[in-house]
Amino acid sequence: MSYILSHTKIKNNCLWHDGKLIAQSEDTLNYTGFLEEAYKFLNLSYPKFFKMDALSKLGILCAEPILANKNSSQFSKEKTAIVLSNSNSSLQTDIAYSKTMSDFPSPSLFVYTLPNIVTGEISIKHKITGENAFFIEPAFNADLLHNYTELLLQESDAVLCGWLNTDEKACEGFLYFVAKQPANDEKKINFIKHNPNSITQLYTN
Amino acid sequence: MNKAFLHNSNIISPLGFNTKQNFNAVCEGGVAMQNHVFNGVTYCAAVITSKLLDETFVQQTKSNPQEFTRLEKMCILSVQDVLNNSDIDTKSKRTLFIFSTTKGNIDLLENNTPQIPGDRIYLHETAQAISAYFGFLNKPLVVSNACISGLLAIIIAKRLIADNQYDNIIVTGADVVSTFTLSGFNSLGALSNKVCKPFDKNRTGINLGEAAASILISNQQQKDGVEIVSACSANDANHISGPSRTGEGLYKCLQKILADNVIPDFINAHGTATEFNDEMESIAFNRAGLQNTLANSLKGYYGHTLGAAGVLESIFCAESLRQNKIIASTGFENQGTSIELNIIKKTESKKNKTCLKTASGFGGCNAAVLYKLN
Amino acid sequence: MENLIENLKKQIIEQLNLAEVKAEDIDPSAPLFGEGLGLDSIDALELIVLLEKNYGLKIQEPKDAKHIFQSVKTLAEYITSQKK
Repeated sequence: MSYILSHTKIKNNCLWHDGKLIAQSEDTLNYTGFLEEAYKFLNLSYPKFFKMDALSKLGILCAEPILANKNSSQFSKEKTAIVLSNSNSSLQTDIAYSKTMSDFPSPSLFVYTLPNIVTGEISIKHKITGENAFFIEPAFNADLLHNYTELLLQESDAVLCGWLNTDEKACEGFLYFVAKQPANDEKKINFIKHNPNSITQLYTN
Repeated sequence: MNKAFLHNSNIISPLGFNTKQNFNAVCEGGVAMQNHVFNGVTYCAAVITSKLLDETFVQQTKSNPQEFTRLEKMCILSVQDVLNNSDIDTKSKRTLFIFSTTKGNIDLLENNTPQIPGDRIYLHETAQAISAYFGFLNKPLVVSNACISGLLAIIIAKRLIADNQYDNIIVTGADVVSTFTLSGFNSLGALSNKVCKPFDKNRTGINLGEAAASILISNQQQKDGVEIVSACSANDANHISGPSRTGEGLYKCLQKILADNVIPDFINAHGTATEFNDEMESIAFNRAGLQNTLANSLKGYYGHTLGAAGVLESIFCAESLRQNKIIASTGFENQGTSIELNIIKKTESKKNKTCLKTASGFGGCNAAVLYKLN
Repeated sequence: MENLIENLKKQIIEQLNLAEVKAEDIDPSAPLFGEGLGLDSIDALELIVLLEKNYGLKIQEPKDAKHIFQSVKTLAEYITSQKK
């Protein structure tokens, strides 16, 4: 049996961890401003954050409360996989880079023109070295994530999964941590069973 | 657990429009790279002649070439060839199409294509356009994971078949050469202005290449079947655009898939011809005891075909096994890595049973697969 | 030279997205790479872009630029030397 041990969500300038609102900014603030405020709120000391594009910032912020958590840190980082998805790939950064193409092409923008760079950034910060996969889907697909995660859990001990998407006006992040057995047997009752229904519920609530 | 086998394939590239043409061209030393001008700048790249692509597309599909992008036309021709030579039903629930690409129709950002809807910039829309053309029942799966995408798509197909979720999976990997990718890699100082030289002392970087490559992966055993024995991906957790200097992620994959100290008969490496990639691979191979194993890179023939690379190069692995051939690592003249590898210098006959395929990509990702001839 | 150094500091902070760094915190003689500001290989490439964009100076290879990019001071000295 596998369980969801922790989850985070970023939407509408709010950051939730395990269902609790932990950071919020004014509606009127654009989302890139919110991402920087959330960084300060989480007390992150990680200067590289400011070199990242919005997609990677979104991923780092969603991953932080999960991976700094005792529950997830008990699992071998070598056997922790990262399976992410979105609909827009790295399009916002692609467009930003393409605007620099005719005069002075920007190498620091170009390196972010791949969706899985966010996987790389999370891996670097938290030293996670397991399996990777990045899927492009028209919309959040709980069945796909559940299916592939369960396949990976045949050999991996844990999987960080989810959806990280940015477009011109908004960003949406939903990450959750799945493991084969609860870290602490006594707390088993508080962990959510890993299945497409529970994933969808967490995503939509 | 079902086994997964590589079956029919197709390659659309500047060296030919089917696997046989491509394999023969490479055996004769054909190189796809030439000088091309993009946005006023000359690059050494492997580009398919648009006129030939469109003419072939019209001839073989009777469809309007203006309604599909370059990438889509390449993919449709590629998948069509595989389907024509297979007996699979795209309308079956047990059939899946997996699409691997890094940038999809990124050239839509540069070109004026009024007959193509703007939303085909989205990779899932591109996949859907190709899938709908063939009437696949199941929605396509789209894998976009930098330069390991193609090999990762094959790995995902293997896992789905092993789990008995599908009988037949067509994996197509494709990317086009564009001003976007050329200028981008150029800004990183990664491009060579001459034909690239993987593993060579005088290598100066990559050439970009475009291709579409498709392979049918099935649970059916066949004469000359090539089995996907083991597979793995892993992250270096080191840097987003440079590989780990000690090849951590790749070495981890090799340890996992070469169980019981299996030594493959040859290695088809990622071998992009950058200073760092080739050096990293030599270190990882050495750590895994593979420094004497025959090794090559195909990027001296095709350039780096990004999302197509893992599929195209795996097809070559399968054909090399079937045809008892090892292919010269063109561009290589003198040892250029701190660990000396056994680089294949001449294309010749050799009986092989197993081969190792590796890939690495931006974001610190790595993948490796062991193939075995039945 | 003073002006150039001050301008360079601001341009570096902006071009390289060093959001948490203030111009007054940058010691002009401190190493830019490794220790000091701890810039990496992508930052080096952006410095090449900065030189071309703001000063019209082209460096072909990041390797050649190691001594130019050692510190803000050496960078300023290079720019000044090229103006002659």
